[in-house]
Amino acid sequence: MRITDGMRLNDSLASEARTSQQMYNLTQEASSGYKVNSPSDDPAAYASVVSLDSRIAVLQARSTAATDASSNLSTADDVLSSASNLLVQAKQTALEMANGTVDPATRAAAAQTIDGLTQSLLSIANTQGSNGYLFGGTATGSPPFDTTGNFVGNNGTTQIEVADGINAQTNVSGAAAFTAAGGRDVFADLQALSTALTSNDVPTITASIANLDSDNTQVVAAQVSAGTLTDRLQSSSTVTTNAIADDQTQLADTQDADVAQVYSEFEQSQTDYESALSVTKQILSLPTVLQS
Amino acid sequence: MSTLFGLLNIAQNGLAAQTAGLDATGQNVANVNTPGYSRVTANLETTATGDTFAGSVQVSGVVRSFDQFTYGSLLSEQGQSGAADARSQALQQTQTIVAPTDGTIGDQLNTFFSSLSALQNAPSDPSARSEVLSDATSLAQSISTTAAGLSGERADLLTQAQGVATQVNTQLQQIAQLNQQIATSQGDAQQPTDLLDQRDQLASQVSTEVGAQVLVDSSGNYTLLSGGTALVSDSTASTLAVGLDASGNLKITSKQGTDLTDITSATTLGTLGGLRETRDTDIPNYQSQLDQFSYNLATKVNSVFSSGYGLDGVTGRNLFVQPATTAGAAYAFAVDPSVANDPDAIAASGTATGLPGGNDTAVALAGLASQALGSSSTPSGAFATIAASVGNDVSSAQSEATLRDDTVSQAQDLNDSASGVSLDQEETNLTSFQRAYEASSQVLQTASSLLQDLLTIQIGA
Repeated sequence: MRITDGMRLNDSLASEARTSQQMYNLTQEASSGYKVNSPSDDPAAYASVVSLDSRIAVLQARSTAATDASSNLSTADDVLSSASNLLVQAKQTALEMANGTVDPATRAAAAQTIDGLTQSLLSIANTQGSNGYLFGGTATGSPPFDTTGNFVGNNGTTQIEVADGINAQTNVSGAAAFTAAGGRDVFADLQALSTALTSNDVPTITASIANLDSDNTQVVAAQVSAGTLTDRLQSSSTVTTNAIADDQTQLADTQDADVAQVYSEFEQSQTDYESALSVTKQILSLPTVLQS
Repeated sequence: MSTLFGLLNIAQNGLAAQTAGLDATGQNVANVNTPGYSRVTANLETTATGDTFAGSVQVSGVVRSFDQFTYGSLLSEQGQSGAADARSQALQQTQTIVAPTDGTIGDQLNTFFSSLSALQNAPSDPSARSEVLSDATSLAQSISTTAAGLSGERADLLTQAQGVATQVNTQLQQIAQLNQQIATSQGDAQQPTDLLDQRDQLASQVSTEVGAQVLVDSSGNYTLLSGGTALVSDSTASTLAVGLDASGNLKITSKQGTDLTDITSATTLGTLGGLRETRDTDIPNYQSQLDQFSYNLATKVNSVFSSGYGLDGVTGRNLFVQPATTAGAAYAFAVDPSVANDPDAIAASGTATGLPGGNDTAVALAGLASQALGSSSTPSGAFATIAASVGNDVSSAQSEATLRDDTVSQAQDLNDSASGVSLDQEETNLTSFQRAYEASSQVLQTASSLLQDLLTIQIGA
């Protein structure tokens, strides 16, 4: 083939352009830190990056939701424990007052103590968490127990998604803990005790001891359930956090540029570029017939 | 019978012939970097007189080195390359619309579902509700902006295609005029090499833009074809026009005199062919994928959302405007007017009695993030499929453009090999003509001095 000056120059210009392009791509990779900057860099990898990003976002949102919910449940756990203590105190009072040697005036005074305990218990039953009243079911907007201890909430449950298609409950039922729905109406029992103390009705006082025991069992059962739900949310949050770490590793593998590799490839293209340049230089300075 | 005067004549012809050779060489050297220039050669031949002693030299013509075959394959490669380059560039533009570096539809989906997840724990919290509403609005905007971007890109490509047609029309006119001039000088001994070069160069530009094939028959009749339709026949040029057909696709017509030919489907080569493929095949494909995605997303979210109750106790509202059909769903994607600007209208509770703390609808909505949408396993996956299909096209268009560039430069090399200027060769020729010229002057001088001698003898006698 007859070789002309134009051919020689065009070829070396083309190879310079090719290596320049390579160097440009590598610089982009190195400066962004990602080997996949746009879908065309690697369509399949881009699709997995999008899916992993979304997976991580979902898991992070779940983890946050589980943490929030578990903090409300652990508040419920704490206050139910106090409620149980109050009921133990009430039972102690009932035991003391059931003794035949106690005079009526002392019993009447003890009624005051019971009324005070009832008020404390009422404020516990109306505790608010970050999302309204804890023990009103889904009626979180207003106090679930009125001033006389009547339940005005509902038995609705709230849940959050903790894994694909798996939900965990995020509230404990105030109805089950404090009202007849759970077995006995705690506030009615306290009210009955208070009335019996005032009216010096010893048989009723004696009978209320067993009732207060049942009440306490009922509240403790609710407390245990709050504890179990908290544990469940926390363990699912741990599982989620681990899954996030796994996905992030996978994302880094798919998306991040291997700096060492980019560097060595850049070195290689630089060498290619330099040799292309020196060939061009040689071509331009080839001795011609006239000069030789 | 040879004479001294004959010798003078021969020497003079020699000088003229070598000058023609030097001329051609000079022209070649001067045009070494001129695009489309074909090397010329002075054809020298012996003057035939039938007399052994009377033979001299004469220039029979200056012709260009031109290979119709390598030139034809260059044209066809240029047509392919023009299409691949145009498509690759247009698709890269499209890719930045569908998958910008930041804030893709995928990112917006993630934010939207994250705020729905936060709503699970705070179904009555005004700020959690506002967050959901504002993220739903951003998502809707991002989808509708992407759809608008794709339509805008199609409009831009129409303008570009019209620009290409205008340029091609000018070139076709020039080729037709050149043909006229070439035809006039057809009878001359001298080949109009510069006109021929210009014509070939123009045809090669036309080929890059619409794809061209050139036919020259033995009597010099010239036809430039594109997709089987003659765009130039001798001195008559057609006019290309680019418009839209009834369905909004490009309609490319060629008009010669009163004959109007629709060459749309034959236009597959050159910039125009590449633009047409991107505009009327690639982008509509992404548009319909995006429409399907938007329709599925709106329908799925609405089916859950409409079963829930807002804080105001109202049920049956849609979060997004429910599209009637798939077509146009992406462009029309928006937050439903009954919900827009009213955070209380966000449905979180599944029952009226569950208000305000019930969150079953919020849980179901957040759960959509990990449920199948269309044929993809998640909504983000559905977006990823669209982005990957653009990415695949861009990547294959780029590879094709690179490949075509290489084949064009190979064809260019082959063509150059036949027509290009080699300075070494020219310099060798230059020296050779120079020596011959010097020698002819020597002959002239010798003849002249012999004549001088002869004259002196006669005067002396």
